Amino acid sequence: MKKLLSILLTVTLLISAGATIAMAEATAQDPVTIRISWWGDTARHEKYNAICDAFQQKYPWITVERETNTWADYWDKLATLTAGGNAPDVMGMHPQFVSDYAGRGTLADLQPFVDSGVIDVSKIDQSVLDGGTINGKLSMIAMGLTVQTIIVNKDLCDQVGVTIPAMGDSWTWQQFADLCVEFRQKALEKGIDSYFSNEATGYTTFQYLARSNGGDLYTKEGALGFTQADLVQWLNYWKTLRAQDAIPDAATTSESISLTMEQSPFVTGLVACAFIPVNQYWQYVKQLPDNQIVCEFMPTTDDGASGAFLEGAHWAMSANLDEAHQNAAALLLNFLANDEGAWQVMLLDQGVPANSDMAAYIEPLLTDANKVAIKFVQMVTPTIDRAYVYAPKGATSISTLYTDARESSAFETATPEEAAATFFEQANAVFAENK
Amino acid sequence: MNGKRREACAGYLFMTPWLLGLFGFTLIPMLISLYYSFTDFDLLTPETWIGISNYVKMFADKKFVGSLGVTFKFVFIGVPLQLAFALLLAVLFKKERRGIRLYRAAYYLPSLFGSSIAVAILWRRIFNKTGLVNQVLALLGIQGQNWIASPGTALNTLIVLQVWQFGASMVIFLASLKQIPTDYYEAATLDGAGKLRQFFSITLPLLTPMVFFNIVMQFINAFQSFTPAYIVSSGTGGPLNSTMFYSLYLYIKGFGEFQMGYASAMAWVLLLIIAAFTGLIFGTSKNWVHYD
Repeated sequence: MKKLLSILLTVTLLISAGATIAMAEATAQDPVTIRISWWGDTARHEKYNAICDAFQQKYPWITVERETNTWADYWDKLATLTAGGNAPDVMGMHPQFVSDYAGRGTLADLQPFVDSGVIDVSKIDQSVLDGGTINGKLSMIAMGLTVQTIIVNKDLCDQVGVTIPAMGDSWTWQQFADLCVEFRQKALEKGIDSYFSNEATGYTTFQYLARSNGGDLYTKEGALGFTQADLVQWLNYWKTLRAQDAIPDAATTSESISLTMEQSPFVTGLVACAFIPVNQYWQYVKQLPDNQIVCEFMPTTDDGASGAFLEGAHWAMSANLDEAHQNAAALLLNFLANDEGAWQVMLLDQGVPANSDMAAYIEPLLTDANKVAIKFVQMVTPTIDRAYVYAPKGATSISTLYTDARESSAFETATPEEAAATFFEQANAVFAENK
Repeated sequence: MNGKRREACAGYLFMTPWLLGLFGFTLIPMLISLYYSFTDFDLLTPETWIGISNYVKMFADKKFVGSLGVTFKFVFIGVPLQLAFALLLAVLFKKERRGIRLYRAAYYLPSLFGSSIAVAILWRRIFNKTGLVNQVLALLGIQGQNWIASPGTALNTLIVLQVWQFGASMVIFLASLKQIPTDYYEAATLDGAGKLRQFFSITLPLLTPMVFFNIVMQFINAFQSFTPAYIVSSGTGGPLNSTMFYSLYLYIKGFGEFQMGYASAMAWVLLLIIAAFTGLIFGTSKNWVHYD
């Protein structure tokens, strides 16, 4: 009797164990719905939608719900969603914000998925992977890589009668300023109301100056990585140009920040150049089909020091997921970074693929404009001397303070020295608070 | 007794949807925000109690003080102008004429759009460098500036937007104008009072209850104004923080810069400010509001 009982127990145990294994296999195929969220314009929304469709076709048991937003709204919404415990399972991430999220433990560590082979990073450069590692955790995976460029409308320059450097020739900030003055003078003589350049308003553009002066926006310890003199130099640079009427007035500059690409001063012909990440080059080419648009290097210091650095479009996973969702999300991350199905749609819209195989794969599919962009990235890459430092916690406040400093100097409510002093005082207070 | 109780029960039952709204969406969130206002809360990690630090910090925050200034200017110029405009049109539209109903409807229309996003975007188009205003000025040979993007004029365009939404106040004035018995005016005319005299001695005093009502409502609304500034400045409060309304700054702090504790404290200070001004208006009302 006792023996019979123990046999019975063993059999039951075996059956239930078998059932568990069978169930575990089934869960991989159980229908699961994951949410993805990204920022961008209409063209990018269409691309990501097509990519999500391709992903669903490859993994039919996974449904991908999509949430799209413009850049600014994306971050407001992501903060709110994350706070409510409703963060998207897969989300677009950016170096400017990654510390605010990873530093608060809201992003999943992706290393386990790399180790288990779900996310393949073998074709991605180690330095790029390091760029996604925050506090020792792999917090985001780069999809595409890009660099800043100045795109110049060559036809407008020819019409005015100024010569611009050939693509790949380096130039200095001083030469850039001289060109602004010369362009405006000659344009007015010919009765053309155009400028060479608008004031470069982005914090990223200032980062070039900070880096070419030997610093960066931040230090690894989470303080400001440039000196007050750097900022004064930068604000003074544009102030001097504006005083000479070599760039548009402050109100025009201020307004142009919020304009869409179609209305931007570069497309309307008010200015002959624009500061953009080079992956957007093809979109501007599309806006001005009758003009020759040239990609120029970002200017250097007088002794030729370049501030160049690689930027990337990144993807992260929410830390707040159960196993089924984690696995599906990891598959999607891998698809975005490594799958031909994604890259034949994305092409260069997010930059050159971080995966070297994919970079080779899309090459025959590219338009001429895309080929220029890829060549430009290849030309800039050798001039990069060090990776950039990630924005620390509180960086959102810092970029607001930068806008305040820039505007108070542009609208002349403060001298560049005063504006820089205020910036440093307030920025240091922000860092002290976030320590 | 039993019937009375059942009646009370039914009453509360009918009130349930409203009560749920009051507790779920107003009272409980308010109490939670009061708690958060005494904490350091970044939305993503648990809050820590810091007492009144948020409230103390506000006084040293130049941007906070600036946003207070912008909001006061908006409220104290925008609301009186709006009400004066509403009253003027109400008086003009009082008399029944042919087609007057059409005019009343047409002038009421803007306030239906309210402080909607579409109107704010329209505003940006009207007041930018190549906008409608500058096109009209160009016809007169005046070179207009970029009104929205200049720190000196950006707030004024928002005040004009506020004044433009005079419709609701106008309708209220219009309704009460028609309540004033015509024999008052007949008697005044017989005594030799002119139109202006009649307005200040009869119309205005009899309208004061409505003026009082409109001032209170519009003050409360204007203090909390958010959408126009958010859209017109693309959410930055720019240029140079000249359209940084109180609630816009609160939003940026809470949702943009991960300082929800500070933002909650700001919300409570705004409540106190609105309560103080409303109290002030109520307190002085017995001196200038006439109920006959």
